[in-house]
Amino acid sequence: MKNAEYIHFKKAKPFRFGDVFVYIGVAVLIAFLFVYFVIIPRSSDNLGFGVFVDGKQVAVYNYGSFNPQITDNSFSDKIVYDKSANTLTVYYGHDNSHFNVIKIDDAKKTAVVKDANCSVSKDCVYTPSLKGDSAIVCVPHKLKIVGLKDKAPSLPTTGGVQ
Amino acid sequence: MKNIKLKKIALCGLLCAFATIAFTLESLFPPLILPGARMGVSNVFILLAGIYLGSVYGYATLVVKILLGSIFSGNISSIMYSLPAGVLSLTLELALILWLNKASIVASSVAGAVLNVTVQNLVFCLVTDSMEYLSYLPYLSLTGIIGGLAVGFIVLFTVRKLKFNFINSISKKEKYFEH
Ligand SMILES: [Zn+2]
Repeated sequence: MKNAEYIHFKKAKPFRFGDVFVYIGVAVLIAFLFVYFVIIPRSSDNLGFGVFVDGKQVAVYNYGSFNPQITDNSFSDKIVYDKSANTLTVYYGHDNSHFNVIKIDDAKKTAVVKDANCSVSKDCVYTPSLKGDSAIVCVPHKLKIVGLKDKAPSLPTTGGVQ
Repeated sequence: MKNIKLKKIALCGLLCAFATIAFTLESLFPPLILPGARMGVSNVFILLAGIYLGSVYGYATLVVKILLGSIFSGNISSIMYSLPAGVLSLTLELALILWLNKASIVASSVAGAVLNVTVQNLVFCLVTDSMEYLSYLPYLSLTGIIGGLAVGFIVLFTVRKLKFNFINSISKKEKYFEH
């Protein structure tokens, strides 16, 4: 063990000259990120959102329609719409023991995951609500909710929606 | 010498346990702004392992924390994006603190934390095919600064209080008691 190498920590200071370059590097990176991802993009309102499971679209919802459309028949009994609470619940697994509850806000044209039993940290529940070009992802359930810029075409009701 | 290595491994195990506990406890609390954005208190133990025991032990603590922590929090797939981000940010921190010995612990911790959230976000977007999450990256990098400062100052004060060659001094004391 080369103790000499470690001696300088005894009088370690919160600031050293080299820090100037480190902080400049960090500032440049963050400035670039803000210009590229916040200042340049101009996102418009969403007209609805699409629900994807394992990369496949399973449902779409147009804000104000109070009528979600299930686009994948294998999910017809796995997606439940509660009109009074305005929530869309997606169930997974043979016994439907796993779920994500999507709360829809038609006035603000947004949606958010209100509850889920995916993991202890519940990452999807803490993801901010949909707006502009954002999305909500639940990695354990392979769920993805994406805002739609155009109105989804009206499909004949496939059943299962209450 | 063999004795010292055993002590280092034992200490490393202790730091691994602390890092895993801190990581798991932190995942129970709501994140800052976006999931994955946390203070990163567990990084205190990883940096201490890297500084006191050597880089290899730092990496070992990091890997154990990510593997066990993601199993305990029930999100095993998070290993895909937290491991590459953790390895890269620890490499940057150790390079600045130990190998180059040019920057302070605080600045290195801030740079490492910002790199960590950035890489984690990029890999997450690639793995889950959700480029929409990139729009959160600027705000995430700001939380990296806060977390990096907090971790940096905790490690700095710890390092100033602890004895550097304390591993050697443990073995010396033991010799003393043996006589
Ligand atoms: Zn989830």
